[in-house]
Amino acid sequence: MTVCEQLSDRMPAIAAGEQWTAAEAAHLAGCADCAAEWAVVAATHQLGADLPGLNAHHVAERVLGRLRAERAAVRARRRGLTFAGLAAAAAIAVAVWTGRPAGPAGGRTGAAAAADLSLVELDSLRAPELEALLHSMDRTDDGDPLHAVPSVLDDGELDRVLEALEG
Amino acid sequence: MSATAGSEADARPDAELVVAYRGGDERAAAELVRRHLAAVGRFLYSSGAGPSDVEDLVQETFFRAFRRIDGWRGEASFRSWLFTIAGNLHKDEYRRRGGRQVVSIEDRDLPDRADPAGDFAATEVQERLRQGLAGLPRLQREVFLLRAQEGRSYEDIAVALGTTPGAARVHYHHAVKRLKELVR
Repeated sequence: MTVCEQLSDRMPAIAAGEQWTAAEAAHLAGCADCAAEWAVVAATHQLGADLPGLNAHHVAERVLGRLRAERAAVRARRRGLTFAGLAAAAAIAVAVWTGRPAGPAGGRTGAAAAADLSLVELDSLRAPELEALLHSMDRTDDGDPLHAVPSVLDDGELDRVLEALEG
Repeated sequence: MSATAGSEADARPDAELVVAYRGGDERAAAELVRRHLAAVGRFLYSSGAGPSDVEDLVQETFFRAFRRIDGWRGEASFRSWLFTIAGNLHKDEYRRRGGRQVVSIEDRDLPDRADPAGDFAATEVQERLRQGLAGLPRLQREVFLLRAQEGRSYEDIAVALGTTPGAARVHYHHAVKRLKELVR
């Protein structure tokens, strides 16, 4: 069975305040489908008309206040990230600067210091013990007693290591 | 100066107010709130939100709208766009409550006029209607409310809700068919 929708498109406008024409009113009076639809549309239009508590000023102030606070938080977070980035960059720069191998005029490398540290322990050894130690160093792969000395030492450091080995 | 002070923005169309707000004019945003507040509140209430929840949901709707104001490109009306945001919020709230509608027995106390018997009958019809609306599929409900409460064209509704005018018309008539039984 077909449902009559003759007045359907007019109903929102009538609900908003327009008037039925005489022909429309006559149709509505005799058409159960249109009357039922109109009852639904008219009642829906009234839904929430008495809704209390909505104050445009308060809602706008609260919404705009939240938006301002959010923007401020985003700016603060960006500033924090920028500061953290700069601090990290500075820390990396310092680490690179202090950790780089020293030049000829600079301080001693970690390898040289390690060599010195082990040589100090040799001071307590007697000549036969030192001899035995030198023989044990001779048993390295290529037979070079200096094989175990790190290759990063510069000439001056190598000289100091050799002097220490030779007493 | 308060963002909501002044009324010179009243005559400007929504699109101009949105452009002004994008440029930093908070009074334009306040005017948009003033203009659409009641309609958004009615939409949420008609969709099943409790009266005590409506103001918070309205506030959240405008907050989300202004935060993503670039999302409105003027294809649908600004109000229809607000309704889609409100509809999403209502859906989220529905899910947050574990699928329970917000309509409650206390909500029947809203009208307070001189004719208690007439009010009661009207309130009964409206409450049945509201329950019926809350039980409709979301697209049917939103099409119906945009059409019946706001008088929007099917073209505008289709753009706002991401459907076609023909489909919007079908959704409207499905909604009417189901709601007729509740209002008889």
